[in-house]
Amino acid sequence: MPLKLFKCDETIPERERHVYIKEDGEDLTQYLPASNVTTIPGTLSERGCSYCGAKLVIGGVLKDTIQLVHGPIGCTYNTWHTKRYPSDNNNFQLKYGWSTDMKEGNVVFGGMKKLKQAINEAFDAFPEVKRMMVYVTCATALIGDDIKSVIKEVEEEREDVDLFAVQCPGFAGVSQSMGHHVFNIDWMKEKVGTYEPEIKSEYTVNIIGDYNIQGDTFVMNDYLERMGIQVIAHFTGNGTYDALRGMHRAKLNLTNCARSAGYIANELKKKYGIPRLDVDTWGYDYAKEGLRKLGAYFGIEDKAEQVIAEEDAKWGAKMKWYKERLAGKKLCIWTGGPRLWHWTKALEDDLGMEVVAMSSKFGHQEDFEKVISRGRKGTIYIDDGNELEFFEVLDMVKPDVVLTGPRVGEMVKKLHIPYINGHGYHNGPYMGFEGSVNMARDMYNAINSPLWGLAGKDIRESAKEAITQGV
Amino acid sequence: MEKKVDEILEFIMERCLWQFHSREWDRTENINGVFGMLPKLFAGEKIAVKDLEPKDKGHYADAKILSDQLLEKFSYLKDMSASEKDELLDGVKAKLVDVSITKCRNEELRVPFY
Repeated sequence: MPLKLFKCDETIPERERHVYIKEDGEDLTQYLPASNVTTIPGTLSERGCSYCGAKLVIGGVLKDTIQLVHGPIGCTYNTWHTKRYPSDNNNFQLKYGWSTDMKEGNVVFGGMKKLKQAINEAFDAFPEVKRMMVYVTCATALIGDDIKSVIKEVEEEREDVDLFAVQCPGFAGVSQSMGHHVFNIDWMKEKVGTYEPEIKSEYTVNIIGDYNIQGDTFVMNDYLERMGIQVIAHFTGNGTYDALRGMHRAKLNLTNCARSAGYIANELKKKYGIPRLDVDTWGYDYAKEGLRKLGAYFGIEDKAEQVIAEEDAKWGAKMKWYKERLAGKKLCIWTGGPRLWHWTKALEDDLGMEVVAMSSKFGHQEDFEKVISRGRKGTIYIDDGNELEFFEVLDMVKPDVVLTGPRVGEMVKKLHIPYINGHGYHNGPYMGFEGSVNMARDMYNAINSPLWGLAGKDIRESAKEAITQGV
Repeated sequence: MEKKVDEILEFIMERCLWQFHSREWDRTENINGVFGMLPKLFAGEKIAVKDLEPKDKGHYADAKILSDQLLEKFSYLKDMSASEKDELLDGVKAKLVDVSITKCRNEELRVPFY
């Protein structure tokens, strides 16, 4: 079927380029939705801003770094604490938010003095922390504050500190995707190669594009440790600033989220000759495949098989139990981009579920190539979906559960349809063997919760009756 | 043969990620790398991974997993002669290049930087 125009989009026919329903006999050379392009006026986009892509998704995850936002206070609050990425050092990165708290006067007269004062104040307040990222925002970009020169001054005055300027205001691109891009490329240009990590194993990797959502990183690191593999840098789950400076010393870039971090994997390949191996770290069967691939790369297949056997013994029966109960259930995946292609086949092959609609906020056409190749025929594929479209899709596909973010999730809940947090998870981690079982359990609990039925009942009449009868 | 080519192409499109790297030159390098390894793996040749260049190790790892999956899923591969397997792989590779590079609609594929 060619690209599809929803009824709700009749007044914005440009939306037709962004929606595709796959049919038998079609391939990617015929139809590929437009994506990573400017949101069409008239559609209420669910996208985030470019600054958010750099700060909330990538930089803000680091466990040892002050994340100073040079802008109004809201830019800090709205990119703090919503992603649930813990760390093994008591969650330093989740406890604090730092802002220069720009006001009208600073916008009129310039904010560089205030920025320098805030940088020093933050370092003084956290004397044990020596690393900082400073983010430009829309306001400070528009007035032309030169944050690099301020950072340079501070580095000269305080010799034991290292700072990184993230120059990606909210308006820099069409979505949060530009923030990922700018962070990756600037980090590569300015910081990679400036720190020498201690090498403890002949098998070394960078894990790229995993952000330790509810402990995903801990799961992955455990597998690698058991295989004798040293993680040089984790970009950026439970990661440190200096470890990311030493990424050039790894022998392999194991890439999960190719959308948010494929850029740095590509650049490391180009500049240092470090191969990029893409894996799916979500999904039960994919977890086996990823470990086998890693084993094949280093010639340690036996170690990979040992980890797989141990994990399968722990989780295999549970996965089977959920598969028997979730098979045939229909679901939608409305998340950022890559989780569409990571999850669709995994949920279908591992659990027998049917993914009937998928929507991406910031995916590029590369992501749609992957997801359309992996997805079912008859499934609806949407770029930059809006709320009215979601209502229409729900009517069309009648899902049993929707995996999406909390904002769209609230809308779905109001329609008494179960929703699972596809960004920060309900009860993760969701990666690896253990994570696949957690995800299946959350979906099973959501679908079978009696709350959805109860929520639709109007109890006022029966309550009145009960009071009258003195029950 | 045509049906077999389409089946294997569909499996690769569904299962693998290396043919969908960001740029034309990455895709070309990966497709050539993996398809360079597959005939050896299908023939049961032992490949000394530790002697390979890093880039080739990556292609080997991708190809090794794929060849194991293909041999398990498509039993007819075991009964095919070496020349039939070569013909099959050539057909799959040509179609894969067509879909993921030559006729690809991805507008970022030829952007000169990452």
